[in-house]
Order: sequence, then structure tokens, then C-alpha cells
Amino acid sequence: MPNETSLNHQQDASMETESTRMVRGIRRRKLIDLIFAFTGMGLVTLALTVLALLLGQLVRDGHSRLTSGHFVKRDGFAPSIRELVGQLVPNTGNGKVGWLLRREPFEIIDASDVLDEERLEQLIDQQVDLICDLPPTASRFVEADSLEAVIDSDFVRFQRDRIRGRLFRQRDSWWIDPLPLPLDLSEVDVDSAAQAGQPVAISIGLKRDFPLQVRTLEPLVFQNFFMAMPSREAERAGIKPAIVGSVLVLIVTMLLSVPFGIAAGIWLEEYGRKNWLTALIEINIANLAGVPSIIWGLMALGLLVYYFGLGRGILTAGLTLALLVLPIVIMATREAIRAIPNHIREASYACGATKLQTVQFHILPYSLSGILTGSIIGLSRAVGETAPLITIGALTYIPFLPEFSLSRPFAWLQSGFTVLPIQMFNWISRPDHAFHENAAAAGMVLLVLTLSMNAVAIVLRCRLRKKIKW
Amino acid sequence: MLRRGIRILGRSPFELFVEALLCLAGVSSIVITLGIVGILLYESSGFFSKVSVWEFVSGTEWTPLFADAKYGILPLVCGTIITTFVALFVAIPMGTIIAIYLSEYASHSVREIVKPALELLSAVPTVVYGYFALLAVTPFLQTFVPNLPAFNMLGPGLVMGLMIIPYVSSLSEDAMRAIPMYIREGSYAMGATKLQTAIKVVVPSAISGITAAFILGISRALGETMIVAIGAGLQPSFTIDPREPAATLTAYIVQVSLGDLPHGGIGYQSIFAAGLTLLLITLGFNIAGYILRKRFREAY
Repeated sequence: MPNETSLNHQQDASMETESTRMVRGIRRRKLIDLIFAFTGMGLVTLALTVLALLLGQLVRDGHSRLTSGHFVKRDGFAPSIRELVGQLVPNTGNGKVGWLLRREPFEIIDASDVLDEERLEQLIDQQVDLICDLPPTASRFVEADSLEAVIDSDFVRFQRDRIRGRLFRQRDSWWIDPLPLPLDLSEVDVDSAAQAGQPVAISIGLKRDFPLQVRTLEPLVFQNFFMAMPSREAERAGIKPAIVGSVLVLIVTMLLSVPFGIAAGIWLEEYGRKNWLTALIEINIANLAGVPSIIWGLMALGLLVYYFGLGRGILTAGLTLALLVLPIVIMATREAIRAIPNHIREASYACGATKLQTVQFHILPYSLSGILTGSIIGLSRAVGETAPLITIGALTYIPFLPEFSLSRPFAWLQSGFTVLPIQMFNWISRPDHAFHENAAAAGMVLLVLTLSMNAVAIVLRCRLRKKIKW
Repeated sequence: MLRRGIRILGRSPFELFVEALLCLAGVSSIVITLGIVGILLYESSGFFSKVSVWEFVSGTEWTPLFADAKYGILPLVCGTIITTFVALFVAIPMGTIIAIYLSEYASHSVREIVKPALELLSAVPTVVYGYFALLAVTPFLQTFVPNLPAFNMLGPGLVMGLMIIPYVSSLSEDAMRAIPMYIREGSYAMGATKLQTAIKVVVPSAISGITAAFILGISRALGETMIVAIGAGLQPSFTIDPREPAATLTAYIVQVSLGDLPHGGIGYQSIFAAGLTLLLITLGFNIAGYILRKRFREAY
């Protein structure tokens, strides 16, 4: 570098002394050094910032789904289109004893196309009759056909496609706040006093005159994203079967991979002699860890599903992921065992312990936290793994949970299932943007799951490093 | 008395039994490998009994599920390679510079924080990255890349690059830190700066470990499935323009698996042929990396 500088400045050389040139060269090199250090720091910051921005978008898209929810009947199904949904309130006005059904305001869609904006402005806060295309049930939207000011102030007859209520405007959209419907609950066999103020779904009889003759009345329960089954409607879809599936598959994966991986690791480190076989196994395991996950899926499809006929249930999924995680567990086990110094083993042998006793009372306990760290990281990868489960044909629409019964305690292993990442993939693949919100929410749950597993592993590793000093 | 004596001296049957069990677990990894290679070869042989190998490796159209089926793997290989290139374009420079920074410049405490933080990048599930590719990065790119379709190879490639950074940086850094201090000190004593030392002394000495890190990154990018299946589309096309949509080998396997193909048909066998191709490409890179590593290995 100093030579180059001197070459470049050959003409000036006469004017400069040797030492100022050197000082300038050193300064330049130090500056470049500093620039590089800042580049490195900047790139770290850039990578983490991009990740933070992306996660921010995920939270922005998905957080509303996590907190919001919807009402369903006790059997878990949504109210049908023949039912009206609302709050049951006692009618205390003008001395009559009776009940009212108070419905939530509906947002009017396409109002600007069908209806004249100027006329709507005049009707704000007045009573209107809205003729709508869609029957207003549990949906929060109505598609307007026409809208008229109310002429006679009394209810005459109930029509499903006509909502009478107050028109109002919220932000850019038009809303209608329906008048409470007077109900006649004499035919219904429920203690309506206990239902006061509660959300209910009612169906009405043929008699459409007021008050409405209620045929059935069912209480509704609030159901959030975590407790809901998948659904064709994005707002009603949830991740209950996906969470249950993920947990069950993870349990199977853990039970199969961790003991097996530890056993293999112990054998390779403590029992296997250094010969061609152990060398081959060593290379083999390192290569297996690099096999793309989709190849594991193909192996599972060809061998487990078709050759061994294990079906496409939770057992196959758990086994596939267990095989995928196995190299990670084996390598973690070996590393943890290798960190134990030889004098521990020798001391144990000197006391007369057999090899198994040495492993059981010294090697395994001392390496356990290292093994656990590696296993947790492996399992967190299994939780987020999607591709191999798609190839074995994990279904995406699972509106049921695996059955548990004492007479057939292992039947759930054969049950069809879905897991969080597959449910998320399914929602991403839909063109409807409402489902993308579901996908973001599922992604948040998945991230919390995997990142918390990773955090546990990191904490475990740090504690281990501080604690053990040979 | 005698039996007890024997027990103390020799191994008890129980010990032998446990050892046999452990040995079985150890050897099973070879069985698993044989299972993978076996099933891929078996199903692929069914595929190649119907399709000539030459058509497979030279054809430029891949339409195995159409009535007029064509079995040229090149479009899928091309999609795989292009997305991998885009990813490496991000991951290798960034990963290497970060590794040099962490190993040569950063203080101990900075390294202890940054390393686990970077590992978060690879801990995020790939399906979540797929969401980012389709719904965050591609819309962002569309603001300054004109006529970028919703499905393209650029967005998923960039996201994949982000995901791979820790694979490259972490292993490279380990390799650089394994270089003994006296080698650096020799360089400093000659008046070299940290950067000169890093580039002219540390990196060449650690090159075998750095190559291993690159190879790991390449393998991850080649085999990555969900990001490209979500973000790059499922339509095989023979193009090298990263702005266009294309299917990769892995995305094709996902696409077929999502449908319900009968077992034993040519569509079913074709995903194993695609899988075998992917495995061979990955293996090729790994062998190349192994040879490079052997050639450049320097022991201290």
C-alpha cells in the first residue's frame, strides 16, 4: 500500500517528506478500516432491521384476528342464514312486558353504486327501510338494493330482506343501526330472564306479524381465533385443529427422535471403535443433516405411506419429522459428550464402574443439558417444517379433532390432521385478502412457538456455559 | 459366588443387550440413507422406464400432468438455480462481511448479542418467510421494478438470502476464529491494519471453513421449498430472468403433492425423479465443496 501511494504521487514526492507520506498512508488505511467496521455493523443492523420490519408487517396484518372473535352456537356451528343474531333485551318501555332482539349495526356495501350519495346525506340519522340483497344474519355486511325513508312508523310485518333502522355514517362507509325487533317468547322453552343481555340466535315461525313468534332460541358463545375450526369464511376460521395437530405431531416426533438420537450419539462416542463403520456413519449423519427437507417428505411418501402402509396420519407425520430431526439430535449429543473430559470416565472406571454405569451415572447426566439444547432447536425446526408434511398428504381442511377414547387409546395416531404451518400455507395460497390476515395471525402463533423454543435453548446454553467448568 | 465374580469381571448380559440397542440406533442412520436413496431410485426407475433420460435432461418443457405430457427437467432446474443465485447474491457478501466483522472487529459482548440475534433469521419458519416474500417483499419491489408480476423469483430469492445469512456468517466466523492468534499478530507486527489482516491473512487461512459455510448456504437455498412455492409461482418456465415467475424442483413436488395423484402413475413417479435431480444437484455441490476444501485446507 505505501508503495502504491508513492508511485501515484511520484511528482509530489519531491515536495513531501517521507514521514508525512507515511502518516497520510496510515491515516488512509485506518479510515478504510473504520469504514469496513461500520459496514459490518451496518449490515448486521440491516439484516436485523429487515427482519424486524417483516415481523412488524406480520403483526400489523394479523393482530386483529388474534384479538377478535365471533359468536357460535353451543355445538360450535355458526348460526344459519335462517336465524337472526342479536342481543336479547327486556322491553321495559311503555309498560309492556316483552323482549326485544337488538342487532348490531350492519355496514352497507355498494351503497354508492346503488344509491345516491346526496340523498343518503339527507337521510342521515333518520329512520329508513333498507331493502337488501343478502339476508342479514350473522354477517356484518348487507348489500343494498334500495333504501327509502320510513313512511309509517309502526312495524307491520317482518321481512328478511328489509331492515328498518337509523342510517349513519362512520368514516367512509354507511351503516344502518336496526331497530330492535319485538319478540314473543311464549313458545320457547328457555328461561329468558337468564338470557337477558346475552347474545342469542333465534329462528322465527311462519307468523311474521309483530311481535315475532320465536320458534327456537339458542344462546351464543364467543369464540376466538384459537378455539375456532377452519371455515370458508375468513372471519370465522380458526386454528384449533392446527394447534392440536402441531402439538400431537411434536409429541410423537419428540418421543421417537430424542431417545433414538441420544442412543445413537452415545454409541458413536462411547462404544463405537474408530473403524470404517463409525467413519462411514459419521460422514453419513453429516450428509443427512444437509438433505433438503422435501426429500424427507418424498421418502416418507414412498416408504412410510405406501411401502409400510402407515397411512397419512399423525404417526407418519411424527415419524417423518423425527427422522428429519434425528441427525440434529445425534450431532448435539455427540458434541455434548465430547466436551466431557476423559478423566471423568477414567475416575469412574477406577472406582469399578462398568461402561454402562459410567454412561448412566456420569456421561449422560453431565451432557444432558447440552443434549436438551440441541434437541429443542431440532424440535423447533420440526414445528415450523411444512414441505415434508405436504408431500405425505397432510390435509388442510380438518374441521375436527383427533378422537381420544380409552377403548382405542392409539387411534389418534392414524387420524387425519393438519398443523400450523400447513394451515398457514393454505391461507396464504387463497386469493382473498381476508385469508391473508388469518395467515398472518397463524404465522404469529407459529413464530411465538418456534422462537420461544429457541429462546429456551439459548438460555439453557448460556446457563450451561457458566455452570460447567472442568 | 462364582456367578457374581464373573459378572464383576466381564460384562453382564444386560450391558451387552444395552450396547446392542445403542449400536442398532447408531447403525440405523445408514438404513435411513439407504431408504432415501432406495425409494428415490426405485420410483425414478419407474419414471425412466417410460421417459428417456435424454428427454429428461435436455427437454425444455415440463408438463407431466397435461394430456400432451413433456418431461424436460430443465425449466425446473433453471428455476431452482436462479432463485438460488438471487439468494446467494444477498447471503454470500452480507454473510461474509458480517463474519469478518464479528470475528475480527466486534468486541466479545457485541458478538454474544449479535450471534444469537442473527440465528433468529434461520429460526423463523420458512412458511412465514413465504408470506413475507409474497405479501411484503414483492409488493415493495413492485414500487420500483416496473411490471413485476405478483409471482416472481426475485422476491423469494431475496427473502431466501436473508434466511441464509446466518448459515454463511456463523460457520465462516467459527472458521475465522479458529485461526490462531499468533498468525494475526504476525500480520499486525508487519504494520497491517485489521482489514488487511482479515482479507490477506485470516480469510485465506480459513478458506476451507468458509467454503463449507458457502456450500451449506447453497444446499439450503437449493432445497428450500415453501418460500419459492408460495412466492415464485407453480408454473414451470424456462427463463433466466429473475423477474419472471417460475417453478423450482421443490415447488413442483409441493404442487403435485397438494393434488391427489394415484399411486404408481407417471405423475407420482415424476416427483421422485424431480427429488432425485435435486438430491444429485445438492450432492454435486457438496462434493465440489469437499474437493475445494481438501485442496485449500491449511492445518495449524
